[in-house]
Amino acid sequence: MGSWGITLYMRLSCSLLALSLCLVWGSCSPDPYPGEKGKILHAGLLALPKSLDPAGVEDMYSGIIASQVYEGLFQYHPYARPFRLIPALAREEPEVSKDGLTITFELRRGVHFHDDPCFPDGKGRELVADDFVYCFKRFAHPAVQSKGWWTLDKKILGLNAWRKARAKELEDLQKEGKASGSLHGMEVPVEGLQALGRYRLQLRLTQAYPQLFWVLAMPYLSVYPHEAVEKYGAEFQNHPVGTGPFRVKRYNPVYRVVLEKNSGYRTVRVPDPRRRPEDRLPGWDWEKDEQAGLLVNAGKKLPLVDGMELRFILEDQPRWLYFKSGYLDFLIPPKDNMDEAIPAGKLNPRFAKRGVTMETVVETGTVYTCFNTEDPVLRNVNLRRAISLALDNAWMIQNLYAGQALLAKCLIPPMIAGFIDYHPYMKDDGTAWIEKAKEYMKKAGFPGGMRKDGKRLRLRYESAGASATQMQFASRFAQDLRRIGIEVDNIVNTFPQMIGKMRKKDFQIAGLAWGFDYPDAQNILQLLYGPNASPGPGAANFHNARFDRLYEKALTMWDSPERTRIYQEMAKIVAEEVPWVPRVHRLRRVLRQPWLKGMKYTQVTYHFWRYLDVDLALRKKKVAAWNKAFGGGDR
Amino acid sequence: MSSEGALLESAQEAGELELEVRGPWQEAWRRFKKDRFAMFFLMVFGTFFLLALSAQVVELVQGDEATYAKSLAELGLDFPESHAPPTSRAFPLALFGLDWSGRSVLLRVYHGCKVAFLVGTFGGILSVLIGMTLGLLAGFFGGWVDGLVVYIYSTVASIPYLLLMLAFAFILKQGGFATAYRESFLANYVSLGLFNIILVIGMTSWVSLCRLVRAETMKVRELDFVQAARSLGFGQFRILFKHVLPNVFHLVIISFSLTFVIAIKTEVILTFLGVGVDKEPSWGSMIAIAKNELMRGIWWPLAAAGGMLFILTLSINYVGDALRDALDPKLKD
Repeated sequence: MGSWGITLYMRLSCSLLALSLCLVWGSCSPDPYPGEKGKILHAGLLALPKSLDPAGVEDMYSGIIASQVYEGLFQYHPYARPFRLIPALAREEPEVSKDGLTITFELRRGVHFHDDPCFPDGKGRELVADDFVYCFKRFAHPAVQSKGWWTLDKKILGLNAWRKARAKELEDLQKEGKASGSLHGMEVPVEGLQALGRYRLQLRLTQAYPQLFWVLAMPYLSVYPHEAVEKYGAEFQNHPVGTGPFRVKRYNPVYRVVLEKNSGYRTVRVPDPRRRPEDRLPGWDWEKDEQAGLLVNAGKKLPLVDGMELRFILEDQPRWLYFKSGYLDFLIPPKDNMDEAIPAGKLNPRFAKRGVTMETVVETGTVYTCFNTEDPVLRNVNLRRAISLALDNAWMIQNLYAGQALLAKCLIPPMIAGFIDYHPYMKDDGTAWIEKAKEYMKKAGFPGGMRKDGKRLRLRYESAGASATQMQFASRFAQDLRRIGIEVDNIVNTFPQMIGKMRKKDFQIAGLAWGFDYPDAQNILQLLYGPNASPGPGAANFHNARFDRLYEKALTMWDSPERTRIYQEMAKIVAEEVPWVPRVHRLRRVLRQPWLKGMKYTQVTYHFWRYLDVDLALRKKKVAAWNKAFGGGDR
Repeated sequence: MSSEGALLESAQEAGELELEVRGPWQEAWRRFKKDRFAMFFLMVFGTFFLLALSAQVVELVQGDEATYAKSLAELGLDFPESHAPPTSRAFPLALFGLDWSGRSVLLRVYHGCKVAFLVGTFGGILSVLIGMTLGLLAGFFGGWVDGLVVYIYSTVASIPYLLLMLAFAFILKQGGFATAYRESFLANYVSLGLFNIILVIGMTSWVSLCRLVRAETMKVRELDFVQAARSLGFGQFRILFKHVLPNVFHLVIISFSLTFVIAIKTEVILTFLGVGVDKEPSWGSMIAIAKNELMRGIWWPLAAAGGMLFILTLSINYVGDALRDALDPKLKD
């Protein structure tokens, strides 16, 4: 009995040991996607998405996910540059009335929402025009508090009044202590927002709004069924239901989102300009893209992959190591790994040998130095010109951006209509122009940087965030200005503090950046339009009657050479009056693994993600070679 | 009679033995001197002090045209306007290499000495003044005064140190105080960031000294000579400052040497976190920027600033330890 007991005990411990060894062995496997089936795209996001409710998609990372799950009336063409829109849920180009104020969209027929328990039988119902009316109203509803409201503010007939009435009701409800987050009054119609039958949607505008189509391609205005909102309530932000090529299979807001292909997705094909002449958009150099291998899947039906797994990898090092091991299909290398990835602006030969390719994209945005032109000192245009001349942008690009930026010769980036190479107060190569700056200091009444009372001119430079990098920018700004005799006090703010100061016009100079919401110069020019001055978004508080007139004129004009000419005219005024000094357009370097196909990167839109494809066999082979267990692998 | 004679005899013997009679400070100095390392580090500290003093003089003379703020290229030397490793060219300016903006690292650590000493000295003095005064008052008067002081320092001590400092630093950097300071004459000599650091350190690091002084005062106030002074009818404050204070002052000196080190380190930490010194070159700002540079193999700014910080704090710590030993009457040789 005793010996039997011991044997049993030993047997048990042996099996336990064997089991735990197996487990340890299994967990030693380096593959972070164990048991994955099918062709899944792997990508890493560097921040957590805030919300998957379209009305709440205000950050890039939510935008990336939402753009795969939801669709709107329009979407960006994945390859055309300059950017072009193509109809998504709209069947074709809309009918626009002569005055440009009434726009009628014909919707695609037979489009179904994702299958979801929010529908009575779990099967996705057909999309109708009323869904758009519902979603636009919900977007405008004060209870939803969408940060994207500016896109439709004062644009659609009756929508502002409708919103105001709902806000009033909301206030009354709150006074009575009733639920404040409820969507009340959705049944009240809006004059300019109507479904004409099942598949026709009509928008009536208060004024011509040429940016409307760009706005309609933003995730804010995509479509979803009211059933989902009613069923999930506040949880709707974690339970997206749309019509897009992918649906959410698993979502952990702090770890990852797994998307799976929507098998019922309508027929959308990768553009095939060689075989289909109607795919040859004017202005799109498709032959170049074809040569670059972007159109290998031309004519194939979307989606090309069975799913996507997007991991939220907040720390730079793990993200970089994931990419190096082949566990991410593409990546923008973190700043600190730039030297390893792209030494001296060229792809590291070690990566090139592996088949990794690099894409360089000029960011659709501008980093600029903003003056408060209402400040008693900086009201002086010659002082602003002197400062602009004294700044050494070339040095900054080389040393603070490690070469990863393009000199901004205009506030409008070069790929956007309206760009003009005109910069009277900046040297062509971006270096400082001290002699001329000193001349302008004299003209401004500060010879050698001295005020009339004999004291040195002191200015305040505000920056947001206290990182070492910010410190370097601020310190270099001070050093540049010291060369023309100006002393600069650097003031560190938190971002909300900085915004607060700008609203109150309580600043002199600030280092800012603007990223375009849509590729139309109006998006950046609005910041210099007089009536947009603080507390509006126009922190420069720039008032120029001619600029304002031109802005108002362009605002109601549809895209045309004439409008581009007006934009250029406005850019010229900015270059002359210097309310801003445009400094750089940042460059994005994207590294692509050899098995990734069909990517033309941009940050303006995330629609291109759905056109991505991976060569699964190649990935398996390469990843295995790079990650040999215990053998070191080829890192 | 015989006993008187014996006393006289022993006194004469004592005279023959030439018994030295030393005051407590002399005695402490004698004991301090015996520690060779302490003397060495005292000299190191003295050298740093002279460096800091000369840096201040140079800054006053150069005014807005400070050499440390200019790149070597601006000074007319053949150097790039960005990082360059240490070299003996243009001796001694490039001895520690050039920083990201092409400025001499040597000059920047040299002027950083001034910041360190200003912060250490004035931050230390401020903290000692607050801690000592409150501790003395609480320990000597007791009652509600003690209750109030204990309440204040318990509250301050219960807030995490770093958060408290950050909060102070953020508040002082904004609003009316900052504007007023920038307009004042002091702004021409000490930047707002530096002034803030001194205030912040002074206002947050007095608690431990206050506790020590309070306890020691409670002990001393019961001793005979204080009772004697009371019975002679001396005033409270005369007793406090002439009889009690000298007997707790060794604590103050030791605490000052410790606060000095803490203050220098705090400057580095706060500047690293972005709320510290913003204008003058400081070791903290050099280390903060070096964090990113190190990845790219640029080690010299960090090595120079870190090295200086290391030597200075080591010497003060050692001197402080030796002082504690020397001043503690219970530790006879």
